[in-house]
Amino acid sequence: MTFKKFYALILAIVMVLIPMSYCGISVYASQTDSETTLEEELETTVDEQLADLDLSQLNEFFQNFCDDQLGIFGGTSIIEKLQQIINGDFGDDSASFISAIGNLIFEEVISFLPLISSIIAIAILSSLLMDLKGNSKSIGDIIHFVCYGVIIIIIISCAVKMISLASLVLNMITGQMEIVFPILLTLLTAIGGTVSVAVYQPAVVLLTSVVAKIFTNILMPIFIFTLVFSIISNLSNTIKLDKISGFLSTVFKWIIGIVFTIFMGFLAVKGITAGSIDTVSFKTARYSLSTYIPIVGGYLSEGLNVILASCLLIKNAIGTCGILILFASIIVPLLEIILFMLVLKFTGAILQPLSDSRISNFISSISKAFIMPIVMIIAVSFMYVIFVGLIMCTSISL
Amino acid sequence: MSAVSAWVLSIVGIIVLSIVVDLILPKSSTADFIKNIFAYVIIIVIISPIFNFLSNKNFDISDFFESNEIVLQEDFLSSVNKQMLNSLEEKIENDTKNNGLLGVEVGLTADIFESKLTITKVSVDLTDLVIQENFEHINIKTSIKQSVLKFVSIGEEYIIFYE
Repeated sequence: MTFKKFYALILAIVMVLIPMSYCGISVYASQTDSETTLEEELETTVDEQLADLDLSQLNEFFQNFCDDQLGIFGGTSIIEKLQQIINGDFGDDSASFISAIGNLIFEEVISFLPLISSIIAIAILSSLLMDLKGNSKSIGDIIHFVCYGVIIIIIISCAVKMISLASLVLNMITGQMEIVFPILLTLLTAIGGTVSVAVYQPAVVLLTSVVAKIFTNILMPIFIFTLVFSIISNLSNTIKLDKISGFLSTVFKWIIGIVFTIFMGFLAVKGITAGSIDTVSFKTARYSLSTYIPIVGGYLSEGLNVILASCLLIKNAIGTCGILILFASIIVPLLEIILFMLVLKFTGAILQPLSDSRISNFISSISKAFIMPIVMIIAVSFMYVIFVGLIMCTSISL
Repeated sequence: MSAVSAWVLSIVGIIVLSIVVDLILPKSSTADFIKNIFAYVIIIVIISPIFNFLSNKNFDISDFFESNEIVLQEDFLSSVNKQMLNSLEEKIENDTKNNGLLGVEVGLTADIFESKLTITKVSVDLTDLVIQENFEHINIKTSIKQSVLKFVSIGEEYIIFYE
């Protein structure tokens, strides 16, 4: 299935991208180690600039985190975390991160146990009643109808929770983008990336409004309709409508693929060109300054460099922080939805030996439909991560 | 959006209705006939809104492009520009001090609210000027001009002295 390939590709790229962002920062940090006075100056400038920057909205996001998310994020306040990132102290985060995720998975699986057991019990009951019904066909149909109805009610009550969770997560990611990108672009302007900012500004608007609207107004309804059609197509043996849900899921795949390709192409081409233009213009500006009196040229840039370097450090730290916040905030709902999908698939697999395959088909088609919100959340957060990564990479070489 | 959900709801309704009819009717040739009729009705229900969608010219794609502007933090930009100006002024003053001229105050004029910093005027205050002993023979203004031009690429006519 193409969903799976897509999903694997995204995961692979994210895994490559995250360590990359960390490397960039530690390199900058270790370069300054050689000169302690410069480092001190840099530290004071960083502190001053952090005080100047308006981080209140980001902090608000952070304050709303629950304990699980704090464990994943691994910090106490946003400024502290930023300073940690700037200094390159990441060391002991991974242990708390893994244990937090492990606990989460365990808790979620246990919370889904009543769901599985009640579905299995009802399905077995329905099959027992079918055996007892004798020869009458319509009584068998009515028994199936009733049991099926009960299973629908049980699953839908959970599914509605998951759907609202998914749309909440999508809105939250958009909200985070609206908070993080202005800060990042401000810092990019401060270090002289005016051309890049001119390119990224419409791209951010494209991402936060157009792409987000496509996701919430087109793809989310398609997912819900797929769910509805997979429910009614298994209601009876005579009327089948599973082709329509197949059609809808194909439409979903095409829309998400097109949005993804257009957005990535737009960003990659324009962002990279603009970044190089900025680098060139910055370098020529510096040369015109330094060649004025050749000997002091290097000396001149030092004073400015501390200010620019601290802007750059803060920019990358905020980028990393944004990615960490994103991870901390999507990992809980994402795991919940993935586990829900897996649990349903497992239930469908268990129920297959029963004589009537409709219930098992229904449950596995629901679980198949639940790949959609997972893909949506991962796609949006992937675009976000790529974008932040691009902005972090657009650093004018000092 | 409401039209689409109405469409889906009508499909669901007609299917549930046909299933209920299927359950109730006893097995006979009329039942098969009625089932077939329901199949036609379902197809009509599925198809009918598609013509409406196609003939409806009101669909406005620009709804998706209404955007909220990204606002940069001007305060931060201006404060970074101010920091840059201050550090430049400090550098120039240090340089003049090295040339034996104490108490020179340099002021750089630039629009700090613009994202790209361009220095428009350099004003040099010489009221508190003290010349160190070894450097008495030098031309004060040329020396200061040189120091300024090391750090700022600006025409000499924009360097203004106050005495």
